[in-house]
Amino acid sequence: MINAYDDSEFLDMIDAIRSHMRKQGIVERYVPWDELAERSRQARWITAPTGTGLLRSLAEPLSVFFNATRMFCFSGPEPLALAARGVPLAGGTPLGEPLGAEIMHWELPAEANIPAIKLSLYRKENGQIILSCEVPGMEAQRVGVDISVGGAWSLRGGNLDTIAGGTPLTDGPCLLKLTFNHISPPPVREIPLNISVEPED
Amino acid sequence: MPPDNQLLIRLSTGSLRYSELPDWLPLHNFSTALEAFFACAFVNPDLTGREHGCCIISRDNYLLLPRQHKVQGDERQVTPTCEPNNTSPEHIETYVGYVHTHVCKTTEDLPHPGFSGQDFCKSIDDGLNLSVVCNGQDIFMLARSSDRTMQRVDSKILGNWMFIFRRHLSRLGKKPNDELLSLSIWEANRLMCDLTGYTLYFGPRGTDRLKCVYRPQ
Repeated sequence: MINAYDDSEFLDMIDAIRSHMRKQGIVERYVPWDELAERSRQARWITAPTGTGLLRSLAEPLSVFFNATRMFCFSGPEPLALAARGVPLAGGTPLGEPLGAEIMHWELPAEANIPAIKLSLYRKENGQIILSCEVPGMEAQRVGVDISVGGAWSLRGGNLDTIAGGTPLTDGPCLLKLTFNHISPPPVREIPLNISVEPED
Repeated sequence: MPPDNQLLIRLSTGSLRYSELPDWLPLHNFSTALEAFFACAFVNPDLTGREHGCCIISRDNYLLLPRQHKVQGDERQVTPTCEPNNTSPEHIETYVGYVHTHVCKTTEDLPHPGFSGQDFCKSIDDGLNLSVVCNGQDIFMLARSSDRTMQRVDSKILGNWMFIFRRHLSRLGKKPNDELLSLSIWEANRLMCDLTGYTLYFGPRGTDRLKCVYRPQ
């Protein structure tokens, strides 16, 4: 049970930021919340994930949401901590360059001995969106992660070059399936992906 | 009971459904009680610098802020006098919500907008139907709906409020300014509304109605 309406952490954070602003000579202005609300509705980058998606993720062991501008990932026990790791996929990224990447400390099987998996989105010259996965700091062959998306393609180990040549993602739901086949029997993690590719600004 | 007071009373009992929550929430006589409380908390020089709180009591179809429920905290927190769901014979009133203040340290400080993470935690923990905060300038209210707001939630999850806040701030730029700061607090509040299912209302002090500024998705 919580005893008090304790704002200490909240106030400490705001005070620290405002103290920094004053040192920088930044003039403060109180912003009305109805103005913020309107701006929030107009802001494109906060459109994903929806609150529904956030709540739904509470019931899921692991889920990832992303569109052309942002990517979010959730895990049941700590949905917000992981949701907050959503990364901006900024518009105007040079073609062929990664649109964004994220290290996700998922609930990977402990016996797999994999601390994290890195997801990246690439936009090819023809506009196709490519999802790539890699296991940083690990030798692909030794780790032996099979990855398939929607059952349309698969690869082994997380070699970026191989992955980037894979079948492009399309709009709609699909399933990212990770098979840790260096373990017997191989544990499997299935990650639902909801892909929404928005038009460029 | 005045007929047009029914919406606020139903809201205070937690019986309004999500679809029934209005875009504009009339406060009626409750606005007078709120302003009297805020005037005491913010104007009297002997009382500034501390958070003030008061249980919101439902009695005879009116919302009241009884004198015996008014308490002072310190500069960063305040503790309600009521225990939630108190049904003892001497506690004949219904504890439906809580109002408290966020104070500035000095007269030069800007008001702190919105709710803190612990405000969300405590509101859920107490099962509040109404949770009101005033920073001296604006009023913020979390309103429960019967079919959307969580009954109980793990406070550890809600404790990630500051993490969300910091992330939003970091996304908005390396050089903070007042607008980005406010926007980050706003976004953190918005996400907490999504998680808890509270609907967020807002209005300037002295207003007789609050505007719905965010509905949980």
